[in-house]
Amino acid sequence: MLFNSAQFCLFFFPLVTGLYFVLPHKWRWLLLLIASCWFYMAFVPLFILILGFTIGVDYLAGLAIESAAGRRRKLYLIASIVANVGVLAVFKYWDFLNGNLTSFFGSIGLEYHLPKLNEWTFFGFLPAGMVLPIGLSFHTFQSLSYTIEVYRGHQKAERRFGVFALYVMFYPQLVAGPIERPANLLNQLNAAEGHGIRSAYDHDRVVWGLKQMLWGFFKKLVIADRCGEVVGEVYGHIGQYGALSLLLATYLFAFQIYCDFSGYTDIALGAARVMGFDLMVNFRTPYRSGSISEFWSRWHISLSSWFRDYLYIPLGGNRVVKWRWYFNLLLVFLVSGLWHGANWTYILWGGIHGMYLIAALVLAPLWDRLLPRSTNDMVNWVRHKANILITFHLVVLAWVFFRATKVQDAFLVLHRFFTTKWELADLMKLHKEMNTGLVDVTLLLVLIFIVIDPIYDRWIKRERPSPHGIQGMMVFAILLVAIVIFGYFGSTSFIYFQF
Amino acid sequence: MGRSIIQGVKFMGVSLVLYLVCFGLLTMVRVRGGRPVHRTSDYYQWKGGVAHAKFKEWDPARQWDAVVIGSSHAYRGYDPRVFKARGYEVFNLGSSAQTPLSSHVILKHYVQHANTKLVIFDLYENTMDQEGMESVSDLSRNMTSDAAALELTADLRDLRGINMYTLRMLTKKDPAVYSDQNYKGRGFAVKPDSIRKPVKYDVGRRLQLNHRQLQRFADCLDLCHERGIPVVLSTHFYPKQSDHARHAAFVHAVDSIIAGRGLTYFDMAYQHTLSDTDHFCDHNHLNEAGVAIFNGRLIDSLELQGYLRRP
Repeated sequence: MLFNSAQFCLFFFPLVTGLYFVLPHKWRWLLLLIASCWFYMAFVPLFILILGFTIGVDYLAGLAIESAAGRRRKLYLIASIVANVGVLAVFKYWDFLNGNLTSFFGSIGLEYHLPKLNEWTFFGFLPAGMVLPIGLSFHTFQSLSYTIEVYRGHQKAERRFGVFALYVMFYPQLVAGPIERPANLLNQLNAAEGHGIRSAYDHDRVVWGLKQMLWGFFKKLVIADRCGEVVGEVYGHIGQYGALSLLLATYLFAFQIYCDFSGYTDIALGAARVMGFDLMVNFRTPYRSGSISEFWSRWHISLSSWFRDYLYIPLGGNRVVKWRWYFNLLLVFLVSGLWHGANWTYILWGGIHGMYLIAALVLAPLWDRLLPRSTNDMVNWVRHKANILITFHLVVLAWVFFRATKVQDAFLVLHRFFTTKWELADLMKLHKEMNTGLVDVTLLLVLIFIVIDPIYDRWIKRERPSPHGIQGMMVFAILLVAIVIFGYFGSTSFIYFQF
Repeated sequence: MGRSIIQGVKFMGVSLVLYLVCFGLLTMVRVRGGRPVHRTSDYYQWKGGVAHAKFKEWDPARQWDAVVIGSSHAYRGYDPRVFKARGYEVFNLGSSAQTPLSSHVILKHYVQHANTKLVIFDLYENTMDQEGMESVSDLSRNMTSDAAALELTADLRDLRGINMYTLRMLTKKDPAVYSDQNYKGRGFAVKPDSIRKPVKYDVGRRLQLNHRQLQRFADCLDLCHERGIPVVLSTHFYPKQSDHARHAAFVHAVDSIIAGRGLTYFDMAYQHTLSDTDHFCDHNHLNEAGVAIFNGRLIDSLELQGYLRRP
């Protein structure tokens, strides 16, 4: 079920939230579990079997790890990892691996043929024509974090199967995160009183959650989906557009993906907050980062911290020799790219970010000499803004690989950036292709968004008090009115669902 | 909880006022001769054209031998002049991309037993595989009845319907912005040209019928039945190169809805020997020559089955 569907907004959310507060505390987990199953099965019902498999394996693995000792603990953990990664390998990476092997063997003159995933029927149990189960990478990683935490002794194994299933399936964050940790979400589902599953109806918290949802809907419907129209047109016809249109589309994609994903996160966090749950913060105005490493501490925080805790640090992190440190960084970002999708474009995108970080480490002394820190506030301000501008453009450049459907397309975009003339006629052509001044209005809305994003973000995160009374109502009513007048409707999916 | 409800009502009130102010500004202000609201989204249509002319012309007090309803296939494919030559008074209430959702509102507000002896319902698969946005946009701007426009935009169940209705009400006194030179009166617009350039036929696309449109189609039939107005279903000639399988799937779906209702369906999609180039103006619309042949065949069939009786 899509958050931006009438089914969710007018039926599912009010019904589930209403019942949640009416039901006695001890039955709430069951309501949320049923609601989460319903939410997930609204996409492709059969895929709940895959989710069920992951939940079953990790539930048993958690109990086994806790009760075992010595090598057996590690064996159970490995079994859990193999099962989870195996599910990912089959459903997400099979076609990618298979396609690359076919190309490789073909290039050396050997015949190789294994069926594609959509030709599989699992001995007739599943219909042919399968697609990637929605949100597979998200819930697999969330489930994995549980067994790893139990193994590390940071988390007690959950004995109630239903509660563990709810931890993996909690509907607000089931299909696109934030990728929760058991220390946060599982403990809220088990809260003895107050915070979490036993929360009483709290007007202020409910309003806070609803405001966050409204902000999320604004980002998705007014900014992301509008930008998506222009980006789709240009990236769908790369050869027909010149440098200016491609540049504009790439900038707009930066805002599309940010607003799409952070919009989803805000709706998820808001929906959970209304019921008394605090999910992880996933974004902190990332395009205001002064470096790539800062960007990754403000973009998809739940994933970058997952990789930090469960891959980068176990690899040795930065407490190794320099070349190994750089290798660790590159590896983590390549894997992160692969996590996003089974395509060389994502791997390259991850690799580019890894290289950015390594380059930043190598070039940091040079940069400090070029633009040294000063006692003059003005100089420091200029330095800070220059860092933000450079970081933003590096991130935008990498988005070309993320957005392109093929590696060749990404290089074609870059090639056209530098080889086609920067002509206004090119922009006029784009303007003509799009209906009724869509480009102008979209640009205007994006500019407004750039100004208001940090303000609303702080209000939503309660880092700054939001206005009260009629003024408070007005600032959020503006969002609702903007959604109605400028929103793009038609239940477009969220980009990160495919991951 | 009570506090939340009061706050919610206040918030909605503030939002409503703000919405009317913002939308009013976007509608009232003129920028380079145009209203900015038209630049905010692509679903607004200008007042005018075939739909505007036909609803202005429609006289509810007059009695018609038949009223045609449906999409552009209807208003371009059923020529009241051909019917008139055979002695029948016909009005065409078809409109651009009209889906059963819109047809239902038109039938409800415009077509009564007193003014219509027969409804000819044109069926075309592409009107039932969509939500109906294009049609609602056109009709909400050009229908004469506010009540019908309100019902139509509400039935769309989409926030965009609010904007369409608000635009209608705020620009109610505006004259039509354009007219269609091909409009020939009684709801019909002609396409005289035949095909001169290569045409791409839409073949192989899976038919995914919208269940709300199917339901509204059944509601249309029920409504006519309640009002005692006979209905015949009709599909006009299709080019031979169009998608036969898709149409067959559509007919199968229609059959399951009309089963047991005793309705006649003149499916003439491929019952013809017309030329794909000489008798069509594009990949799916008949031109004037094609219309004349089709209408002649249809009138023969309607007379044969007793739906039309020579005066």
